[in-house]
Amino acid sequence: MEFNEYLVIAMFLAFIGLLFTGYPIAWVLGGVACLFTLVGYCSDMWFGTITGLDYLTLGLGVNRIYKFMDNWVLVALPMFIFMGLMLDRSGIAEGLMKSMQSLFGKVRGGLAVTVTTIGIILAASTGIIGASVVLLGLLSLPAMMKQGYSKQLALGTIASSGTLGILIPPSIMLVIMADQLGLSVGDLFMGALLPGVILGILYILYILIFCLVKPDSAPLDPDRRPLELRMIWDVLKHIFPPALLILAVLGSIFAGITTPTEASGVGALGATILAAANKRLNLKVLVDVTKACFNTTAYIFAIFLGATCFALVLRSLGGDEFIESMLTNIPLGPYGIMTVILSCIFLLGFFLDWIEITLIVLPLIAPVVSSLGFHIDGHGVVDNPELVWFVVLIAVSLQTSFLTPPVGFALFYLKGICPPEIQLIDIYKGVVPFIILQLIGLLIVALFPQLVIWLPAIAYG
Amino acid sequence: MTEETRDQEVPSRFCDILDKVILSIGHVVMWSNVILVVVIILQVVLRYGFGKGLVVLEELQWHLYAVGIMFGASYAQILDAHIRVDIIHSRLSERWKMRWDLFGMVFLLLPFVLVIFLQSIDFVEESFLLGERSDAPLGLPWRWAIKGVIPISFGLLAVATISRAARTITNLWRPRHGI
Repeated sequence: MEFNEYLVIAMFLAFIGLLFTGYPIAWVLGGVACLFTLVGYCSDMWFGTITGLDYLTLGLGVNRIYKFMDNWVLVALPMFIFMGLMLDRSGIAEGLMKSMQSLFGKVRGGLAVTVTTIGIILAASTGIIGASVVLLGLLSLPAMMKQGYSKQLALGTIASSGTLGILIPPSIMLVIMADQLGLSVGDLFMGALLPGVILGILYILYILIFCLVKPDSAPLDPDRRPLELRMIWDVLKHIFPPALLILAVLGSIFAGITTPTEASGVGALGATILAAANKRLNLKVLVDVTKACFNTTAYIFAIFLGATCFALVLRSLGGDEFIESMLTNIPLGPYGIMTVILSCIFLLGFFLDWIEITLIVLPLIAPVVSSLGFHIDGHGVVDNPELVWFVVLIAVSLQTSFLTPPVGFALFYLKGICPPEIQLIDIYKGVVPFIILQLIGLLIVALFPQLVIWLPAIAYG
Repeated sequence: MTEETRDQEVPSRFCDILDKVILSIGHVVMWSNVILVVVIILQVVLRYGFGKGLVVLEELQWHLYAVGIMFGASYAQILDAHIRVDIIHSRLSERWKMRWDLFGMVFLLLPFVLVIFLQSIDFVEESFLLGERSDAPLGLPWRWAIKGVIPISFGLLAVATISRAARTITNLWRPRHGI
């Protein structure tokens, strides 16, 4: 191995080691880039190595930062975040919860199904899993406990439904992935839609079957009333406005009427109007949402700043070719290599957020995926069908890892809002069946790439 | 009040002022996102309602977005909102947390901020000397102004970091209670 390859490995090790000091990830990335530039420069001077790193290498970082500012696609990001935060404050989730609870009160497990459905509908939420898990938990955990649900079922449902948000469009994770890999945002949104819905359906089927087998884990609502037409109307009344908003946003992107950026702005306005219609909009809410949006955007983009310099130094050292050759030399065939990559991402998801994984790991493995020679029919209209499919697989793996004990992010967010009598171990036990469902979903998508490609193909075909 | 405690309060009062300035800047700049919504809607209405969009509005969109994302870094730094991996961190004692924080600020964040700050000044200067403007004939002038957001926002980030570092140092050097 050459000196530069040792440096690449040392860079990754330094990054991972320093992460555990708890210093913000964005600055660890930027700092490691600077330190290794210094190391490379000094060793070029004194030991005659040829890393080619110097002060001017980092100067290119400024150009790359400017490329983030001058970027049409990413303008959608603060707008989708604004939309999600506003929807969270709009009172829609509460309304849905109440109306669906009275409708499904007669079905065993109805409350858990309600939570999953709200999770799917509000998946338009920030894509910051913390936000959706906290919202769903605060909303539904007290109700499920009061009705005597088993802790595991309740906790597992909330954690898993909350993480669906990063997968189901409009998800900001997919916007960033599309930007990093030069894919179309519309293709990725459409590609992720069916797999996301399939996972949601798997959850609901599991909940219903589980409650049939173990009726005591989900007692019926004691104050349930007979089914009335009014109840159905009530649910429709609550489901219609947010569904219309999300359809309008996704539909106008899918139909090619608007760019994702324009659709995101319309979505932000739409969410504000919904909040106003529910009489939740006032100056305080607007200021709170604006502040939270500013802050959330800031910490996401801070990671962009650090990661771009890290990637720059890594690339100058030939790190991308090094990793590509390392991965393609695994003697396991394309599906074996794919499994290795997905497992690595799953493991990384234990301690990294999706933002860092998307910004650092994804650009490194994209050329590998393209060279593996999966022949997926894009029906002549989807560019790079292999990559679109693979990105959706990565998204599902990441979502799974956020659910997986001992360190999945969603579990800690949920623990944060649970009453003290609920132990972390209850949450761990609760998510196990959902992790199995996730793996089944992942397998389905891996075996049938057309589940991803079909929707974008017919939309443009 | 002894001589010693008064000495320690001076930096912290100074830091309070710095923090307040950065937070106030943030509270003004954060509205760029709301203005961005308005600009996008205006553009959509013009384009689909009247059949013609304006290049200026289109460019204004990414200018507003760029201002929002860049100024946020210092704001989030004051609020301590940047994402950390806290598996081990959350179990450390307060004192060790502060020590690692100081280490990170001195060896990771400050070098990074300094390098980008210095390099971006050349970047902006070049654009200014060229009189760079939008490539589109009807686009916005003064490209150097939006490029100038990089040194300004990194400058603010440096201020926020120095303020935090000063505070951490005072806290670390303060004699332990009860000893």
